[in-house]
Amino acid sequence: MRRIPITSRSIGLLRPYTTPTPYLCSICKHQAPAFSTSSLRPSLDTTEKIRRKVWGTDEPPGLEDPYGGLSKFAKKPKPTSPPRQMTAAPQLPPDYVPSSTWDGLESVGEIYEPEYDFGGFLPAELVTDTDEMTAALHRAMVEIFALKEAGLSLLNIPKAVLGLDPTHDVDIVPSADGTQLRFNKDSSLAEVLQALTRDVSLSSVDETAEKGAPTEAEEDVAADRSELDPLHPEGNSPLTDETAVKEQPTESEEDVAADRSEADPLADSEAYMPFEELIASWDPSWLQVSIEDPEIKFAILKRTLQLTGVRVPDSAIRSTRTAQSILSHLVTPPKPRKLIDALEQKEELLTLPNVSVFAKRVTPIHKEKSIGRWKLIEKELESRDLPVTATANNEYPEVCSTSATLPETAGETAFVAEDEILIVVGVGLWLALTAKVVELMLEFVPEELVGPEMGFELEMLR
Amino acid sequence: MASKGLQGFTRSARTLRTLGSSKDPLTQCLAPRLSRSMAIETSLPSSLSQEYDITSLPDSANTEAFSPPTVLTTIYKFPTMEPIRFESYSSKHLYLPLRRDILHRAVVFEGDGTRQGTANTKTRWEIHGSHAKIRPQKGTGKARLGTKQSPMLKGGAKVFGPRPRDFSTELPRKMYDLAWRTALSWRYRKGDLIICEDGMELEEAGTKFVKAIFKHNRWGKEDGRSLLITGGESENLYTALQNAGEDGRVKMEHEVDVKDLLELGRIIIEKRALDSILKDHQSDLISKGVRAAV
Repeated sequence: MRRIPITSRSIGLLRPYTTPTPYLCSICKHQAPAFSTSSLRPSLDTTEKIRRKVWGTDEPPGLEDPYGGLSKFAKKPKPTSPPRQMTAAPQLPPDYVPSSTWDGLESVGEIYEPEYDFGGFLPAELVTDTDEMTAALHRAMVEIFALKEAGLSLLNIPKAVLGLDPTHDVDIVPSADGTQLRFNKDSSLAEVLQALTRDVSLSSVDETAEKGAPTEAEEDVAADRSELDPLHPEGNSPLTDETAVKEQPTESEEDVAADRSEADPLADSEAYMPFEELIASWDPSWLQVSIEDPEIKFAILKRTLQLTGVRVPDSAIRSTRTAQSILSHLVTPPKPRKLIDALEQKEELLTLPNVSVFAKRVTPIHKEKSIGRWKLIEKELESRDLPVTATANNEYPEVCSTSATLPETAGETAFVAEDEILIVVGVGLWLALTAKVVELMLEFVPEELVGPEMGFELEMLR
Repeated sequence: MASKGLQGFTRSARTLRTLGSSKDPLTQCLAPRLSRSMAIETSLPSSLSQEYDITSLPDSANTEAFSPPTVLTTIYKFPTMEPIRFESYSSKHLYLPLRRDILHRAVVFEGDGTRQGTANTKTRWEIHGSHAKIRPQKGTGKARLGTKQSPMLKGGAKVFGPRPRDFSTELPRKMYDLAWRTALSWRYRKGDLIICEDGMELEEAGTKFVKAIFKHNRWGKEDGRSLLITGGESENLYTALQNAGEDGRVKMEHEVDVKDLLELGRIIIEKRALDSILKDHQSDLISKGVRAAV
């Protein structure tokens, strides 16, 4: 028997219409009362309900929030910052003119980082001149042999390269019982030693002023500085010899110091002798001096490295037995790293009239540049929107040109190229396809989705 | 030749025996003289008569004549590059003749060993999909086809494609060790081996410091870059050189191989790193027993 549905009961009319009803199945809808018959209760959270049940009263003892404070996850209130204090702008002086350049303005802060000064052992500038190199080796040898003669440590030589080099007028003479230094009129052992132990900060001017002072006092200073034991007979003997020879040099040195300011050509030639003359003035036998002793060899190589910055390769250390062999290693220039550097050293090649050497491959652009036509060509190419070089503007080619009016809605088509149709597949995604592919696609696309113009354009393509 | 020599030896020994036994003057006269045998004289294998000594070989004798037993090196203080002292090394460590062939083999060996060998393609059994026949053999008017995974189809298998494998080759240990020392010797002979005292480290980490040091010592890009080899961890140096790769590289002693030694403009090596390398690569110089003891 068919059940006659009761659409509504009279009691349902009591229900206020405004309250939303939850979904109920049709049976429940009719069986369930349309309104709640239970009394309304104040909404309480579960914890409170349980607490009341446990204590059996409506006002259970204990804190409302036993743990106190805010939860870890609760947002903390932001600290409020006090409102900014506004101050009146300082009154500018009446004659104030804003500057247009930064010259003379007070600078605040450091714009550029200060250059890191690395105090290396090698000099900042490499010595490449052969004569300078020879002079440096001579100087190193004189200094080392002088230190040895004085019985001092060969290794603690200061970096001082300032002032007059006192070793210019010293000859190194090989002899049977070891190498001897021969001090000529402008030099003495004390002077050399003093230059070696002198403070770096002393400039050459102070030096000459000092030389004007009595010789004995200066010698005392030198003796003090050189840390020579006055009681030591070996260290002292060359010094006593020197004092006898020294009498004359002081006067001439005074002359040199005095004349230097007046630019006397004679004195100048003595003070700043070119390296070639200097080398010629030495007894050539100094190059044959033996440096077999490893201690002396090490000290000389170290000092030469400090003066010139040229390193004698380790493999050559053992075979170098004389000054000549050290010099030959020093003056040999390093092998050029690039072919162009090697070719540029060949005079006979570069002087040929029909030969020119380039560091890089010569392109047609270089040829145009050499006759001054390249700028014109470049301008013309740019004006015609043509690529200047093959590699310039070498971007990925576009899929389709944007000259055609692009359709915007899905399914619309437009002509892109002669045999292509553009189909908007989704928003902003379009494909350019050949007619054949479109035909194949249309087999799978329901007819109602294909726009009327699609068929028309396919016809045109065919 | 050796067998002939041995024959000669046995024959003369027999003669000796006969000489010792019979006192007959006739046999004494007819017996071949000990001083000169009929066969071409060769020396007996040396293992029989004397201890095997490498220096007795003619080749090593020649090199001995030209190269001293030890060579000198300069030890520098690291950032300032102030020479501190001379140190001597065996010429079998740092003064070997250049052998390009051995270096080449070592570099190829290392290159083979560092290949990942992870290239992989799928065979027709690995490609996903049904192995059912695509279409009937006959009657469709189209080509006969089996499964979709067929190598001749798009999306099909690759027939002899790459499979993961080990590319590493083998090189005798002694040859590899010789290559290490040959590489170091080549650097030494060229003057490109700069040995620094232990404790190669910067006071502060910073690219500008290391750049200044490289520029001052002429080690940088213009001078062909440099490889720094440290024996331990030098944190500041590593940090500083991280952003100065155009000027050089820093590696720990155990990270370096022969190719690295040959690559850049020069090698700046900590002394303990060099000693450790030389100690680890001398299998051709000392026997196994000694090596085990060391």
